[in-house]
Amino acid sequence: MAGSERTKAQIVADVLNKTLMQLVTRCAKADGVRDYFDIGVIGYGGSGARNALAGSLSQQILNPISAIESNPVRIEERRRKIDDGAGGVVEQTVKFPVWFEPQSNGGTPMCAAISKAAEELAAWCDNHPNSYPPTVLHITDGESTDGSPEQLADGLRQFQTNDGNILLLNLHVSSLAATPISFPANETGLPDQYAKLLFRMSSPLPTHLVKVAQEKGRTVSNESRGYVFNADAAEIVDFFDIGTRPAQLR
Amino acid sequence: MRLRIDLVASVAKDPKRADLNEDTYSLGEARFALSDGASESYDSRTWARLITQAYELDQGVGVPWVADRVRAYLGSTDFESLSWSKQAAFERGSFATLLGLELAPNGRDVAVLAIGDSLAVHVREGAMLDSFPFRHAEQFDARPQLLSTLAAANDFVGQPDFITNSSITWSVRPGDQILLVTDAVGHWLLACEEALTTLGIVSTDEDFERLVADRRLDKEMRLDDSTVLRIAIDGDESEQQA
Repeated sequence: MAGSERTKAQIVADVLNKTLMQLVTRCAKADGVRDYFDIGVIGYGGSGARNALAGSLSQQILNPISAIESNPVRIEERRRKIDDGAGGVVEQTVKFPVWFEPQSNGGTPMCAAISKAAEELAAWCDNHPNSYPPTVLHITDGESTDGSPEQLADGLRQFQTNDGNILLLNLHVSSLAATPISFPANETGLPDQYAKLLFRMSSPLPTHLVKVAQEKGRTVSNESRGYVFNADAAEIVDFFDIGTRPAQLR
Repeated sequence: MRLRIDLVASVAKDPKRADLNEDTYSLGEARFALSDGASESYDSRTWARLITQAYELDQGVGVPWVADRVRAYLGSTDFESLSWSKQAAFERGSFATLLGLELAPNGRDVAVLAIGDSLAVHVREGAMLDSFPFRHAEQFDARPQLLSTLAAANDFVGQPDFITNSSITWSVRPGDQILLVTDAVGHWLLACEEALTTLGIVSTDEDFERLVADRRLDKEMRLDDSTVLRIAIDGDESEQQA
């Protein structure tokens, strides 16, 4: 991971927790959590591809966001000091939910993971024909160990709702000491065959995401793909924030 | 001259869930306010209600006015008792437009204050004389600047050009009308030639509900909470006798 002492597994777990928290927060109102999203997390490693959420969220891959909100594995409480609005300082307790602990184990069965995602999302698209299409955020740190995933990824991107095709965004967490690359428009400059493969597997960024990425100061064009190589932590958060922004949620 | 409420109607984004409608308004004697709470907010309805009611009592919107409203909003919540998701959503803030209208002290002008993308329209003999803050439908596509419960997000109120950018004065005559509308209706009024005439013949809540349902169906009107306040300009009795 560029510019960091923490392990990839720690950073990925932090980013996943933060992203779920941000997504829930967007749907949380004073009168409750609105189910604007369904969310699933598929983890893959030595034991194959499986639901990575715990407790009651482990019963099915996709869960409404209100269920995600209600079922973190734990809630951390942290104290902080804030301005009391009258020139003083008061202490306040802030709560942080945790759904994932860092995990790292051998094997990268990418084909199994993409197949599982495709199976879930094909059914979801059938059941939600008028919804914004699903976004798949795929985080990987290496070479697939169960065959080439390219055709499976092509197949996954073909599923659609009336609002468009599934978006597949790839976040490539590499151990190479190479310069980070965000949302490239072609393969030129990507460091190895795995990076190039993941680039080809990534959806072109739709217009509204191009706009959001530009607002965040990213250099992107209408040819950019949803691929990020060797990103540092801030870029990973950006990647998720951009990738999880539906067109109509205001 | 005096201002008289002629029509007040509002249709929620989901007509079956009027309770989720985040448009709100406050109707005083000579001062009216409309606000559209942003959907992606923790409690924009409470915030919208708070600022419209405050405008009705005091139209002097500026840095102290906004700071007082933010303080009132923050003071009404026990942060530590909230669940983690409500805490996080509370911290993201709540956002709303503010559109205010009042009769100027000279009795011949009306003053409009517009923060965000709610629209005021000046109508004379069925024609649109002017609209504010937008004159073109495409202007609704930009991300609007809204009043927020996050103090830092209201810095624009302290800018020297705030009053110039957010206010306009219209000279009015008896028989004129002022429409105050939220963005879905505003966009439709500026985008569709026949819209003003169509809205002009609406006289009841039910008429407006039907109009919004039909325009949503033919995709002329965006799917959003939709509100109209129609204010008639009446002459004083002495003017009418003269």
